[in-house]
Amino acid sequence: MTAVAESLAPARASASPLALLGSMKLAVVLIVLLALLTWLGTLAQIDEGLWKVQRDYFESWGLIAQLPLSWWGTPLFTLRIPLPGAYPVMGLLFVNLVVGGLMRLRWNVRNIGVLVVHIGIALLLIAGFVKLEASYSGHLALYEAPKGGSGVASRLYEASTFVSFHDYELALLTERGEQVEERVVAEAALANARGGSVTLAPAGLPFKVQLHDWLDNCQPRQKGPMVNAVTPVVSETGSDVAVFLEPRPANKERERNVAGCYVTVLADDGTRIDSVLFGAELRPFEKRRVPFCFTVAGVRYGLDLRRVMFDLPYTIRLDRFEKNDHPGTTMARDFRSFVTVREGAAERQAQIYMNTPLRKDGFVLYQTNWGPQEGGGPPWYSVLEVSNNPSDMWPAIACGVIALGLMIHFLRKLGAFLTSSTREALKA
Amino acid sequence: MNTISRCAFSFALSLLALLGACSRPAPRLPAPPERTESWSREFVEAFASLPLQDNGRVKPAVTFAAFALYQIHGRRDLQYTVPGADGRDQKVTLDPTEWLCDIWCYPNQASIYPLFRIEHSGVLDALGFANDGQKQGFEYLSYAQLLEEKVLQKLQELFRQYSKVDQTARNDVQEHLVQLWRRFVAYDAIHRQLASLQYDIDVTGDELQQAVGGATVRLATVLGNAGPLRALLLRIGRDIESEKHANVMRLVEFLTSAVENDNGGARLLPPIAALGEQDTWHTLGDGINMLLQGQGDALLPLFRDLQQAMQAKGLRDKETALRAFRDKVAALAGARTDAGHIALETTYYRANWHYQSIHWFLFGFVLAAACWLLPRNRLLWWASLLVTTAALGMLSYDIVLRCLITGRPPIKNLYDTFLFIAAVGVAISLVAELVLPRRLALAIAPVLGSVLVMFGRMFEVTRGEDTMDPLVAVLDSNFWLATHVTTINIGYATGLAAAVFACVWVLLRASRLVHPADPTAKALMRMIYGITCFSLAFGVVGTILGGVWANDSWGRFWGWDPKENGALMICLAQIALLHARMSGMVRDTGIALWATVTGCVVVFSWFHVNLLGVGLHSYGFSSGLRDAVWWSYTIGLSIFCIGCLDNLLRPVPVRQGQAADAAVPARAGAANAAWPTSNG
Repeated sequence: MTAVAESLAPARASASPLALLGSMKLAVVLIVLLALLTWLGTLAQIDEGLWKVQRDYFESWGLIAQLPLSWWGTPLFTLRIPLPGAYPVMGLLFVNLVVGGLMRLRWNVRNIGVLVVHIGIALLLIAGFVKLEASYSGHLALYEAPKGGSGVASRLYEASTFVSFHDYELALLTERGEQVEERVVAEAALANARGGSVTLAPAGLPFKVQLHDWLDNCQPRQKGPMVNAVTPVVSETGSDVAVFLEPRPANKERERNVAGCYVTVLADDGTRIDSVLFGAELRPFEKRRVPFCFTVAGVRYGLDLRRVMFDLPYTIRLDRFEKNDHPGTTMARDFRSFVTVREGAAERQAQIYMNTPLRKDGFVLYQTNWGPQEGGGPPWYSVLEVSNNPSDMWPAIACGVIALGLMIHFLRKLGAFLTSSTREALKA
Repeated sequence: MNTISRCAFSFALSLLALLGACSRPAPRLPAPPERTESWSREFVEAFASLPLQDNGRVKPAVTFAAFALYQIHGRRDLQYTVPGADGRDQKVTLDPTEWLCDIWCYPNQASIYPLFRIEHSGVLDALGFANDGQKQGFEYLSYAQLLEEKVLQKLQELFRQYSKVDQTARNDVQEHLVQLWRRFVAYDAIHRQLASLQYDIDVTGDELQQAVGGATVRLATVLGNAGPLRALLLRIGRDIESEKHANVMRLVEFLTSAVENDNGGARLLPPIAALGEQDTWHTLGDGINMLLQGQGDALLPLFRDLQQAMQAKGLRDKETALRAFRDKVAALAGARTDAGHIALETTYYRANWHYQSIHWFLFGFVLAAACWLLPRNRLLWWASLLVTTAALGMLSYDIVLRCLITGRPPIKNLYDTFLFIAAVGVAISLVAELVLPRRLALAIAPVLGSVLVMFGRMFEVTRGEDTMDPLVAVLDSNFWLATHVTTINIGYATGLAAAVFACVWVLLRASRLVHPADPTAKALMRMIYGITCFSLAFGVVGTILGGVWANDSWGRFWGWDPKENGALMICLAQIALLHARMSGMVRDTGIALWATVTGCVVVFSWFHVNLLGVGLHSYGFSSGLRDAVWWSYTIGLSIFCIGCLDNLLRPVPVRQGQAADAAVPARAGAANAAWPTSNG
């Protein structure tokens, strides 16, 4: 081994499992695997869309990757390669980095740059892990609040909740006098409703709820004589109107899909009520939700399939939305929301625009979209993305640490080379 | 080294021969041209700086005309031949400004110019043009030819049909037809923009003649008499549709078509400060409407000048009128537009510094090649270094001018990356030469510079979109453009440079010109290593900065977007290379081959991901680009295969004077161990 390599080699050369776990060769293998996964995951996005690829390649434990080989744009054949997912690869890489790059590395002046870089990369990997496991995000769409008066009753002008982009939940609502009690089941618990059925037995209530024929993207339609339905058709008791959920091809962009499913309420007294649930999100056009309502034993209940709702610790009102185009074009130069943040009695004005989000109490609000795109405003509505990520600012810190480490290390090496005898020998 | 230089010289000579063989004669005009003299040089230079607004930006006419010509014609100039006085064909070359002046002032002549390049005989077949079925080469069609009713109908019908087909599923002819229609529409908008000023309007009826000021008038005259005309129209009111006012109706219809004619061209009329107008310029249609409504009198002289330019018989009179138009527009726009920027942009395109730099790069390369023939001549080394540095200076000055004109950091779009990456690639190679003066980096630097600038120019023409156009809202951040975009592109540039050095190493080794243990090969290996380290530092910081930016604009640090993935792959490839080198997994050959593959990864990240059509960074699609990308892969992977085969199949014989290696202490031992050194 050369002089350069020796200085960076582990302090104790041994064949212990720890040495293997921290070995540089393992690092090379893992990094190449990660690069391969990244490449295959990029190509797979063309056909499968980002959400699926992210789940299958980058957040999974393993997969069979497909490599569509082509030459000059002509497809040849598709290779199938079994690979570990990026999740275990990055996990192992983190262990390898901590063991080999921090614990077993010689802590001396020559290695200070490498140490700093490795600390930065470790921080970056931790940030990624925290983001994956502990963050959540969604969107908040609001109409411009009218200056005076109450505006249109159905429109949403302010909110203290936001809705998930992708995930659904099933809310069971129980009317208790003036109050409505809410129980929520997450989408993951309903997974078997795709193809099969899921039966929920709410504790203390006189009925069971059976969900079946879940569709990831669908549209409710009324059944008529000229309409063919491949899915079950249901009609409410005492009603002539029969409806069904028409399946639609799933969009690659998952947030554009609207899920739906069939529901059967089986009351303890033997009554059976059939209906459909449809998870459309209508904010900001319609602020109230219309759940499927039924009565069992004199109590009114509701079932609502909706995007997961998250609470904000404050209320956001959209005072004004502004869009400026480049002169003589329809290309946006700038679009920004002027909002009021209300916490109890305290009010504060803020602006949210591209590259300048609002960070407050652990939540970050971004300008992401606006409408109506056809016909334009006013009144405009603005779509804000809201995310809660405990590791929000860690990558920025990691970036600084890594930059510093790389600078120390490579400048030291360059300096050493410039003054070395090697250079003199290699000069012409 | 003499063998290397001989190879290089033969290569350069064959390249020149190939270029010569590829040139074709310019097509002949089907009818004698109306304009028999050339536009005068002073006029063209003055008119080039006419300010106008296009795509949300005020720019000189030369920029508008140039990019329109690139988009429509696919070349930087328009050439044709006409029979000269002596009966022999005489070639005429029009620059974009002259072409624009011809469209405005000599529309009939402009309509027979060989404008639309057809590269596939199937397109000619589809449109019903006779042809010799030659698949190679290309032909030009004129606007007049496409305007023929049958042809136009057919083209429009085929466009409708094929534009429904997904772009990736279209065949060459279908794609060509779709593009042809788009180019036709783009040209048609420019051609028709001033058409209403080119005709006389016959006016009948005393009352109307009195109102508009004559029996045969032109648009500017009508607009000059907008007051009386308005009064007349008010008096007639709804009665205008009756038979007795058919003459007035005809005039109104003419004016309506004049308004509609200006659809999609540049905005030629500046906003009027006195009316409190902000930064949106007016189309001619807006101007006609404003004048008819009794507003914007300041615009009337502009119409008169344009009218005069269309109407005048002599070329010099037309020039005078257009020059007057330019001066008036500049004066009116003066309050709202930074005249300095217009002048700077005009000079920028005239001086064309990056184009000049190509010549100096090539000269620098010739000197570097001469340097190999006469290795002891220090003067040649200095000359080559200075010439290449001067060329780098020109390229950098070009980039600085672009920054000054747009008020932005060096990279705003894909075109800018060519110039920037070329400059950084040359700079890092020159630094490598200064650190280890082996005359190799000296030759690589100018080649890298000239090739990348040439690619950039090809990209500029095939894309045909103004490279200084304003940015979409998310990119409108000089801070992030200056930090993330610049650092990541330094990473790309140096990664590419390292790959080129690695390719040279592999080829030198495979061709047995240099032994891996020679100081030349060792020095080259040092350069590959050093540049990779440099590239990694910038690539990693640039990639993470990109994530930090994304966290502020899109709400996530990392979204597995193709462009992000590409940048990550470069970083991973380089990190893996450095760790593999350190752990002894690869030696010199491995490093060189790995760096070559990293070069392909750079190409994937820099360009290919933009062709995938997915993700948030799909901002630079161009079909011509796909070929360039595949060529890079082909070259990179061929060299990789050559290197692999060479390493597997042919043991390296020990050289005489192996002892010379003792002078290379640091890694020589390790490297030699990687080479089969047995004689057997």
